[in-house]
Amino acid sequence: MISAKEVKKIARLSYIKLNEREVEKFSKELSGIVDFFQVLKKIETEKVEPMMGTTELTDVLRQDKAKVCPRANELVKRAPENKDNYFKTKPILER
Amino acid sequence: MKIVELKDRIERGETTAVKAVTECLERVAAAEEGEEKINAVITLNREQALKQAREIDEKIKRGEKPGMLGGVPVAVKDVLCTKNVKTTAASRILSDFMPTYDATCVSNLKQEGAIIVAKTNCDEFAHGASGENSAYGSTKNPLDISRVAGGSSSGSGAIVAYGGAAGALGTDTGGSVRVPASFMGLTGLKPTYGRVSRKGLIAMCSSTDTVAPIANNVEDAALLLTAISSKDSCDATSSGFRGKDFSLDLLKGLKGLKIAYPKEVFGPGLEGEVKQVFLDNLERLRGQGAKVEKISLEFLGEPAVAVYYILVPSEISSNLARFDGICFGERVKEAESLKEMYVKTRTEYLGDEVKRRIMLGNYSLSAGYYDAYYNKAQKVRRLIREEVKRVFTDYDLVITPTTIGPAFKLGQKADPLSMYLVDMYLTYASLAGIPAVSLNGGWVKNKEEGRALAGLEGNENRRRPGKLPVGIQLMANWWDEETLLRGAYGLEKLVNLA
Repeated sequence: MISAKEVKKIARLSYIKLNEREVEKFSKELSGIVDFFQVLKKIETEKVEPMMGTTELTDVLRQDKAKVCPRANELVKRAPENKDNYFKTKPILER
Repeated sequence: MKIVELKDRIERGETTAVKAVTECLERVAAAEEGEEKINAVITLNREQALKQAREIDEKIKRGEKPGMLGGVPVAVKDVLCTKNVKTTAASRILSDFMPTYDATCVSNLKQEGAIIVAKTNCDEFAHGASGENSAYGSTKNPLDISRVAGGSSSGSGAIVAYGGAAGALGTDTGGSVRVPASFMGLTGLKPTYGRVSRKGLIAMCSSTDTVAPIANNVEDAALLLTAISSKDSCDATSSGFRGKDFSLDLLKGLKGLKIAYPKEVFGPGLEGEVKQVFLDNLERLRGQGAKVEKISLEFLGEPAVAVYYILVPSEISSNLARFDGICFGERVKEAESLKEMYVKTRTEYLGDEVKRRIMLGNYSLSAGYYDAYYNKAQKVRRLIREEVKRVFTDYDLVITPTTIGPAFKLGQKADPLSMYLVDMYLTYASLAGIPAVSLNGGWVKNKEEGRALAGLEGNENRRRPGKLPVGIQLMANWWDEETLLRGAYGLEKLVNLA
């Protein structure tokens, strides 16, 4: 069961704002999904190492050399707000 | 018409690329502007497509080779970046996003002479199994417009089904080309993880995302995969290489193939008629000299779905953190602080399923739950991999139904968990990273038949009145698309004769 309080907490972590109706809806839906996850409980995994990916590739290396990105200026220009070839945001530090 | 035939006819001058593209654009107009409005397309690439087609025709006139897909009209799912062609991921947050480059798979297609006619609709950020989660409206199934097309690559499937493109690129993270293939009688081919570069794919779940063709038949799917596979320094997981021909083994036949079917597929949920179609196909394979045996895959079904819906939202919560209104996409103007801007932008522009998955991921990863969910799922994922290794030491292929039933009605699965269970047999291959294909396995009764898109009659391998197609899935060992496609091609011939 994921309570309304927990839903509000994970919404806050996710930078998403929910109204009361949505909190109730997601609480019900997420609880159903998390209940379903219990099917994994009966699988014995004590001695199993977690696996992060499927490739078994390790350390795909390349030369640590900087490359010029010919599109950099164009990328900045297509941002929601930009100025003098920089991304523009609200102040990061409060005054 | 098969892609390879169309390409040959264009190259021999019996038709032209401009004519092929124009015909596709006409079919798109009929399907999208008519009263059925399939909603397969988000952005039509009319001008660029016709320009590219003229260039291909010029090339052929000069006697130059136009590439293995020279002049062939294809569609591309709108989660794949296309240079200066709007790419929305079916989300409002990217409603005006204009990429500065082509995804590697798209530039590979273009290099081979393919012509991108449309960017196709899908579930928002590919989050869904029905095509109903798009911010631009649901895609309807051209075979029965009261039903879903299947997702998440809904538009890529639908446009191929109605002939608006000769083939298409979708993506497959946990079944996203295999479900539409099953629901529309097409071939959906999920390659081995790493076979195709994901540079330019808007990421969903980095440890299972693949770029995957949808086509009218197995041979076309093999050809599209041949065209897009490559190793790419911009995707460190890509290990495929360019120039490998996946159609070489198609004609080798079914004789001698060792094929396993897991008893777990007969668990709850599988609809009776779909089960019968599945059993019929086992007999077809036996009839051609394949050795078909029952085995157990302990983790296929609900355990793999549970692992998938823990791991995928976890990766989504991280991958979608980039949609914050700073670097690209939409931004809410009315905000006092940076934090307020982030929150308002994400709240305003992301859809419900996307929010649900981000929150579910942050829940599974949060302190107190990490071990019970995320870590547990990663452990079971290793067990799945070990199970896969074992089965492919004894067998060449594993066969299952693709979905538990045929295409369902629009709006029928309102509960998110019931939607997640559509992927019952599909997440397994994704978690292991092995290749899988869904091809049409046969037809079941359409219990409440809706209207079909006009113009699909006359080809009984495309549409049968009163019936709906259901898919058969084959899975193969890592990097063994050759055997996968050999089995699929052999079975497809038998299904088409039935």
